[in-house]
Amino acid sequence: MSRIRVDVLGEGQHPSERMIAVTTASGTRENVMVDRRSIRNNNEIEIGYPVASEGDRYLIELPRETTTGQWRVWVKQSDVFESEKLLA
Amino acid sequence: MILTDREIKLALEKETLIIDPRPTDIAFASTSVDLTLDPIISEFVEKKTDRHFDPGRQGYPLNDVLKEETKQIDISKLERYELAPHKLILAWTTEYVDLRSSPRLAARVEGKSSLGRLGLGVHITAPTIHAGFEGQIQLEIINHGHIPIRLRPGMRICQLIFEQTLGTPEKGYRGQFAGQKSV
Repeated sequence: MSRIRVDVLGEGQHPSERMIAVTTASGTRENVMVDRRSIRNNNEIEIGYPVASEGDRYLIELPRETTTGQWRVWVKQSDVFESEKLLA
Repeated sequence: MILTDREIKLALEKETLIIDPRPTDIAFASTSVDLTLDPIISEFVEKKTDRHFDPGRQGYPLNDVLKEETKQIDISKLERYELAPHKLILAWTTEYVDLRSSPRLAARVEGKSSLGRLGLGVHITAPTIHAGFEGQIQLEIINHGHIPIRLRPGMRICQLIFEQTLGTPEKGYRGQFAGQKSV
């Protein structure tokens, strides 16, 4: 399984929630509300495996729908890590 | 394929499905499990000014807007909480649900007929709990009826129906990136 770096923006509407931002390959940010337990090492979330690859980009599926209604975003490969590597 | 109570319990035993706190036996039906209402709800604040949502606008700060337009209430601290007719609130299940260990497991959150006949709906057109979901399930609760409905923390508020997908979703399938070292 893979993880991606995120920015934690703050609390959600419920104490269990946190709003995070994922930086896309084009530099824009997509905001996603996630469960606080989904955030690992303060700034990473699990994303399963990338669903496609193109040049230095991965297409990943986020754990929940972004505030703009997307599930999948292109991100830089350098922002994606294998979980086990991080845990090592 | 919909999971029966036996398959749901088996998945809970094997921890390929986590529901925390774990539902007791009476929460199950043949093809569903009931979840309960968390005490924290989010109520829309009534204001007189002209307002609107603009979710299609690029960079629209939906969470900030929702925070501005709602207030958090702990209904366990109130003597009672009654949902007025035609009023919408955001609420959550008490239970934390984790589907990550089973890439082929998805679910649907549905209302309960005992509440539906009173006019209480628990979601607005978005019942799907996608494969890989983790968290407390957000509910969009609305009273479609004409009489206030009292909500109590811990009451059975919705049911989850689990479905096994046909095949493994792309994000749960390592095949195409197997062996690559960058991921």
